[in-house]
Amino acid sequence: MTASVPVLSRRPRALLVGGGLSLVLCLVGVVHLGLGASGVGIGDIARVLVGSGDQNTEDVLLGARLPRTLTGLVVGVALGVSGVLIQGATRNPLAAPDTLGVNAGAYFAVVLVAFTGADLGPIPSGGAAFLGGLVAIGLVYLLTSGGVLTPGRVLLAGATVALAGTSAAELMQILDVQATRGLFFWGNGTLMQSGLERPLTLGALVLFGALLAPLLARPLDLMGLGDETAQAMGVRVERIRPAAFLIAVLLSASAVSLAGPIGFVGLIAPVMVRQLGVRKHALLIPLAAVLSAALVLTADAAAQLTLPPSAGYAEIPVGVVTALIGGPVFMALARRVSTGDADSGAAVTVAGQRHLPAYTVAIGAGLVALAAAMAIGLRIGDVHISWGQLGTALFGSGDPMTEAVLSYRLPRILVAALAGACLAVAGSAVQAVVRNPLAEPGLVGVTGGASVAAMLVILVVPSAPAVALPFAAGIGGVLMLSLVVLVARGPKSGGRSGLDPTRVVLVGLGAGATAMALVNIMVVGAQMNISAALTWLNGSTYGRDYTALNWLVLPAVVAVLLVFASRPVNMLALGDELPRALGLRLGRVRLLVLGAGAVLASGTAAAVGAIGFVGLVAPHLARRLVGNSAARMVPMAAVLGAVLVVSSDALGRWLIAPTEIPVGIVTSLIGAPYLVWLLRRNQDA
Amino acid sequence: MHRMLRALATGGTAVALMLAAVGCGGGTAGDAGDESGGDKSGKGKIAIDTERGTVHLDKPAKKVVALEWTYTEELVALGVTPVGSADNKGYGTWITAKGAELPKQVTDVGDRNEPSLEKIRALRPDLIVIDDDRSKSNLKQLKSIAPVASFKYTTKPQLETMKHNFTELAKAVGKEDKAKEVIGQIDTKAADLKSRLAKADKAGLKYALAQGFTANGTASIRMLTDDAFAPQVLNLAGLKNGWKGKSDVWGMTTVGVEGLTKVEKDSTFLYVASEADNPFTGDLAGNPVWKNLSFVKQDRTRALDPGTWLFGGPLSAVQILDETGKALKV
Repeated sequence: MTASVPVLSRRPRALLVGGGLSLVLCLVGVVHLGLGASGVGIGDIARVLVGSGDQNTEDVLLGARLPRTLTGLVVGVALGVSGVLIQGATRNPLAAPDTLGVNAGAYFAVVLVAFTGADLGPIPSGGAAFLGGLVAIGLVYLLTSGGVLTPGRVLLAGATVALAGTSAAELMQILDVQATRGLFFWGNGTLMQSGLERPLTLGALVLFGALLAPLLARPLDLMGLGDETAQAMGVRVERIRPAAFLIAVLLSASAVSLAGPIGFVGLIAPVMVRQLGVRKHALLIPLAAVLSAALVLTADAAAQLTLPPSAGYAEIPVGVVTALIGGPVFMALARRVSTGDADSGAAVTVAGQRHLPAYTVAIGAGLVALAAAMAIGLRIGDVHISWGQLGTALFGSGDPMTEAVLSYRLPRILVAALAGACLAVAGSAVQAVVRNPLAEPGLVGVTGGASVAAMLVILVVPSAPAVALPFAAGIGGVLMLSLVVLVARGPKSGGRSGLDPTRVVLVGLGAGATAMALVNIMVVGAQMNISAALTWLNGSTYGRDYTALNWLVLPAVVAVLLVFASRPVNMLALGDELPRALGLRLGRVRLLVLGAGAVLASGTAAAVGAIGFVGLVAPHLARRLVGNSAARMVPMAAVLGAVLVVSSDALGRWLIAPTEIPVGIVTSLIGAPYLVWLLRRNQDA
Repeated sequence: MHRMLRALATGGTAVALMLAAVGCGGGTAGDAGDESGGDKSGKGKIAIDTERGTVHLDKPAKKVVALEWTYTEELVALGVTPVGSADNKGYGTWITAKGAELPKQVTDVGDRNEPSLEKIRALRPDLIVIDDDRSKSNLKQLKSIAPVASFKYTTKPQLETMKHNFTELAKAVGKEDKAKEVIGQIDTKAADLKSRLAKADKAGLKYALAQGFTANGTASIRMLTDDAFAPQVLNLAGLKNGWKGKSDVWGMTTVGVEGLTKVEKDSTFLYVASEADNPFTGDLAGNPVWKNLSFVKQDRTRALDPGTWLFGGPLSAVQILDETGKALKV
């Protein structure tokens, strides 16, 4: 975990690594310059450089190639240095501008600027990105600095902040497609530039930041030994850490405003350089910068070679390629990370059972809340219906128009309620097995696996019946879950079969990134009508009628069975030894409960697509209200899940009517702050 | 990372959907008893050919809801004011052809992808016109409100498809004569432009047609191939498309500035770009590649009116011809 600092730096090796990396960067840079839509090759460019080239080549070089290659260099250097600083300041190899939410915060700020319609030059828009990044890392810092700075906690906080920023950015894109046009593509990071002005201006900024970074080299080396040791050796940790963050944000915000959010480079490059034996920050900073630039240019060159711009309709954004490569690296790193959560068995511990209200009171209040949410959901919408009209219609004597309108709202609300309940129970089941309150199906990579499989079906067998989509998605989801669990088990840990909860989520994050990169490549490469898949993936109750309830019958039955089987489910929480001693066939129970979670999650996805956070928030709240026993917790979670999805659905229909916000975005916007609060609260406990 | 977080944002999906698929058997959400409001037993005096088979109407539809701009435009062209239309604000921004203005009283029923079903229901339409690609999630519900005419825009050749859809729509509202007249206007306009071009010694002029905007400060250019609607309209006037790139379903190739070097040398560059966001006069103006393109050097770059809609119906077709004539000064 901790980057140990060898007392002696091995100079010859550092020289070798430095020379090698610089050579690689030069080679990649030359290849990158030779790629482009006009067919101007390296040979033509070489002739220009020796003074015998034609005007055309010179124009292409100045007007398209150099701006693009320079952008790659600037972005690479910015992300590499930023990554080193963040990893050094947090002593965490998985920390980077993207995993700590800085990229997402900067991206959100840029989308916000586009949304308000202000036309800013590169510097002011970079300023907005800077502020966004600062707010993001500030939040993460606030969430973690008060308590123990465990690496897992920092990353969870970062992922949550990033999630909130991205959801908000997506919401703005739904609100105004035209103003934020093109940002969807840019949202994945692209090096395309049509002039040298932007890369040069922002490049100057990056150069400034990169030159400041070495000033922190020695303090960061010492901080690698631990805060106290560093303090004792005269490092003012409380100043150095914010300074490192500040420069890191400046750098990554410049990169984001130049090319959009490009993930994983800032994470991989420093780790790789360290693997090569370079530990001292004075060398780490420049070498990571060089390697990171080489990575960005290689990724972009690979994208251009895969789908040559001269032949294609669109390009693969460079960020997609880096995510494709970076996801597995992230998984491999997360596999070895010690998160400090393995023994407690929870990344987010459940509060002790203080002042629990009586179970009947809690569930009664929950049902009242559900009834209220459903009534309000029935009442609000595009067509005005008074409470009186609603009442008479419900008792069978309403006017035809009211009844017609209710015939749309009622099935939708019922589907939302049942789906919410099933999601909550699915979350409870998976969490019980993995013994991790964060292990809701969406947070452990299952969504990604399901999406890849669904897209594959659409691409390979476009004529497949509708039922094939959730079927394939199910297989993809199960495979991904198996992979994540397998990887997260990590190196042999003395026969302990309990999964480190934070590690499961971290590995899941990496798996999800790779999967979504694959989906993006399929989308761009196939250039086909994918609205079916996108509709399904977005999580929406739009247009659902009673037939969607069919999908939920089986899950509902399974949910009831789970409540009846509460004794073995409860025992799963006790770890390995005790249940075995009490005669529980642990393997079989785990499989059955996971299977139950699978049926629950699959039924819901078939009915309403992928709705996030319900499986996390509802069980957690339920535990706080009625304690840990499955017999009480599961029904309570179901009621809360129903309330959450029904209210989110109503909000989504009402906020910007007649346009709708997909319910999945609303639950994310509610769920992310909840998770933030959870993390914050947890450290006080 | 962004993508991944998006996955999380919409997260919480299946662990094993197949179990449910097996459990629920044939009860799929999509195929249960498609009852069509007015499409009873296939009998009716009017039969219109749609993407999803023949739709029958007893009498011409009077109250029509259109859920795609092109069909809203077509209804207006036929002299039928729709009772409801999706995204009226967007329509007003993008469709500015003469005679295509949407009267204020037309109810906005929301987004084109997920229009408000209850609002449509409240309008009590007797025909709903939708784009087939956008119908995945609501076809069944719409059919229970009124007969649904589902058309596809991108079927090749797009100009013929537009004429066919337009004629079928005209049948549905009892305005076939008007449809003939409107389609005739396209040919008349094209012939007129052709003769004016000939007079100006520009017959068979080669062009490239582009739509441009900037995304995060960088030009993004959509080049239209002969698979697209707008070039097919221009070709009626004897003009020749000098862009041969590979195209997507809409008939476009999206390129950066370097891609423009593939425009055939003798082409006149026609483009549509909004006034506030014109990459050709803004972002690209100082770019060496742009400055050295033959149509830039020889001043053969022409802006069409920013409101020219390149993916529209018959009125937009006429507007494309008019604007091109104006731009070429014939």
